[in-house]
Amino acid sequence: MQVRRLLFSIILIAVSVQGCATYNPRPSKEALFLERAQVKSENQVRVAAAVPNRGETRQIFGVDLYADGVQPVWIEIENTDERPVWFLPVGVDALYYTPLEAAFLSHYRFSRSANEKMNRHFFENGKDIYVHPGASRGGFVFTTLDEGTKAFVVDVVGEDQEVRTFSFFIPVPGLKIDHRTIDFEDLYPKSQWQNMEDEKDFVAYLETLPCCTVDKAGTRTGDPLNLIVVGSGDDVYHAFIRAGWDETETITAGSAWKTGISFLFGGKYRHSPVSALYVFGRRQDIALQKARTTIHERNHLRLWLAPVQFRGKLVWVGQISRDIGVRFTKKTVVTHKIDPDVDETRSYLIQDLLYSQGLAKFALVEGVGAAPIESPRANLTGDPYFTDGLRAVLWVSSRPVGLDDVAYLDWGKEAD
Amino acid sequence: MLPRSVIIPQPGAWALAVFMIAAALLHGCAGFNPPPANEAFFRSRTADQEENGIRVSAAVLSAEQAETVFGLPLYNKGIQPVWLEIENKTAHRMWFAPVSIDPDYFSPLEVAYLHHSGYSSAGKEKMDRHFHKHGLRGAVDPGEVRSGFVFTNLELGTKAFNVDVIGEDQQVRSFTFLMPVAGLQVDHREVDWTGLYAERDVVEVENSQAFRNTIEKLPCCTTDEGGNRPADPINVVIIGRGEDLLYALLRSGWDETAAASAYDWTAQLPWEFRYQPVKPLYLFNRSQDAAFRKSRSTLNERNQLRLWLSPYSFNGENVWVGQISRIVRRSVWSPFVLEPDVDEARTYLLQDLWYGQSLLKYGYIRLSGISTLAEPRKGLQGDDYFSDGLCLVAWISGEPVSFSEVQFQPWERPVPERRNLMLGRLPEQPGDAGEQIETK
Repeated sequence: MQVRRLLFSIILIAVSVQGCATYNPRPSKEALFLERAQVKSENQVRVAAAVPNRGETRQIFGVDLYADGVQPVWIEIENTDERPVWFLPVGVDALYYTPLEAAFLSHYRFSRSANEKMNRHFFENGKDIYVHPGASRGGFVFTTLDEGTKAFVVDVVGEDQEVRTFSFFIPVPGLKIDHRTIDFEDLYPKSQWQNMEDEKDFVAYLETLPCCTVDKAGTRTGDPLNLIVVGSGDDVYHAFIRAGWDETETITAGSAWKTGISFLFGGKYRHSPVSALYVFGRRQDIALQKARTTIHERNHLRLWLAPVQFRGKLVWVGQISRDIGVRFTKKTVVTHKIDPDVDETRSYLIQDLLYSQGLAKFALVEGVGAAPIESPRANLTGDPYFTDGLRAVLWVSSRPVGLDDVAYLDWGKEAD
Repeated sequence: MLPRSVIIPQPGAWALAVFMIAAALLHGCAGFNPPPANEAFFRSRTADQEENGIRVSAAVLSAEQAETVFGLPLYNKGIQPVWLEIENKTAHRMWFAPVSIDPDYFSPLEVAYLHHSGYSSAGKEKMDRHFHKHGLRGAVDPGEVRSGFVFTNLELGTKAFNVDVIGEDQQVRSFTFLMPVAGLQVDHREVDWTGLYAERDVVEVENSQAFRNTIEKLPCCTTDEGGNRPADPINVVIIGRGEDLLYALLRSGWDETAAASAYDWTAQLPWEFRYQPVKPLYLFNRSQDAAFRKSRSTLNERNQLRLWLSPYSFNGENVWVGQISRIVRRSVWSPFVLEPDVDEARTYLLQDLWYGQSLLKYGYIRLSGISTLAEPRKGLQGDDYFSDGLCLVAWISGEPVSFSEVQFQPWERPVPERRNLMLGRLPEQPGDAGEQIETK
């Protein structure tokens, strides 16, 4: 009861404070986040971009935009060309908010003059699409909130019909991301690493990898390892984020609470945590997910770094599943039901990377072991699945690859 | 801060479980007995296309057809099956990409799972097999014909989609379909296009300067029904074939809307809004010929585009005059208001067409003076708006236009310091910026 009374009085105070609210944001030029700005230049156009975190956003705009799911991205475009260029904010976020829309979401309930002031402040800090020669005005594009890494593209088109595309991957402080906590350098002792040059050796290695993930003790087998991802450095990360995959949060009590909320209301909490599966004696190194219409429908992807390199590129072993609903279990109360047709999900991923231009080439190898629809296997939560027993090998690319340039390597295996 | 002890709200989960058990009991343990899939009756409504050795037929199933074929009301779950048949007459193996039809397509077993509740386990298994069997999957070998279903997100009105077939010869064959779906009284299908203008009223314009002069003479704004009160500003002119325009908008996620006569007062729930008629505004002495709407997932923010076929034609192409605005509200309970910066909606449409590869060329023509934040004008509902007074002119293409092929027609340019101008910090000099730049 005490808690309730306390809450009530807080609400009362909040309401009365809002009633005579004044709106006094701090000028953005003083903001510290600009020190984190990334700068890129191409052919007479220089683009600087930075993303303020929640606290910085509150300082700049005087309201908590993150709470409304809005994240401002600061962009400055300097045009030193003789001809105008046009900047297209939908490249940053296809569902971007206009400045006055973002202000509208934050409007105070009773204070008209404060709201007008807010409108002017947001409007002034917006970003126009037309960039006159010699101009270099900075401004904000209001995007849908992405915690973790903000990945976006700034497309600038000149009237000389030249397109300049700038890709940004900007970490935003605030979210504990799975793969940040892992020291990839020390995952394996130096002696354990092997580099493969011959394709035959590589195929042979891939076929001997374990069929499936296991539980923590390593005694029971779970979802099939039907993915191999090959790429150097950040390729994996860039290709998947560009395809719309989100990083996941590590499990804390707070994040489980948030998942619970989105489970009950079907809302989109895009960074809900992923449970652990084990390969190489450890839980996944990277967990990503792609939300569809509700939290019940999303795709999960887990990757483990393997101690091999193929022609100098890193090799990741992975697992992908499509959640098609929730069901109740004794152990965890709720769990996701996966699509038993795991090959379909594998095929979706190939297309997903293909259409987001992150796939350079792909192939199919053995290694999972076939399980026909009549005699399915089960994963760790008891969900059945069936498969043709193949794993997809995907060469990913940071640089966009056109649909016509993607190569299929015929290693003699055919998907059913 | 959230309390650390909270994990999963169990009471909610248990209540749901109890409810589901009760629902299952009421339902009984039904068996799943779909009729044998009869493809003949919707074959008559298929469109057939052939390109470079590949033939594709497609049909979009109506609610009744979907229920007949699968024995389940798929439309109730927002699922719309599209039937495809692909024939490979080439010497190469072909892959079909369902994401080209719908990036968020449902997998066959997902559709089955969504309908499992209430069925016995044998019934569920039978359902799974049925959907698995009828899903279109795998490669199409040389000489082979394959058919099956792709389960897409429901769209009424006209279904616009691509079928991409990717060959091992590294060629992509792309087929474009625009197919009417039964069940929605779409506004533009009620228009008597040939009767809109008498032959003597039609004006053919052939050069760029004459076109600019013609457009400049358009009124600044739409009006109310009586034509007395000015309403939301005219800020878009689109040049191109109606079919290309329709395809461009639908592929960019715009929805068609129902004719005003189909307005349903009872359909006020958020998910029933999607195809509701857009309020009429008036131009050329009539309400809009076609209206489109694009919403965010919350439905509290929507773009609305109203289009009128004008009596003008430019180099033989149709000229559409339009009004685009964005309306927002805080929640389902509050009224919609106009986003005051109407130029933003115009800018959004430009990008939408650009990224949708439908934009051939664009430019701006001035239709009215500048109205600033301090001295706004009013829309029909009395909402304030401000604008730089420019109207976007966009040429639409039926063939995909790559990002860098888009041309700019230098009639006028937006003011470089638009924000300062709108905030009243610049002297008003419309048109000046355009003349400063030499054009080749």
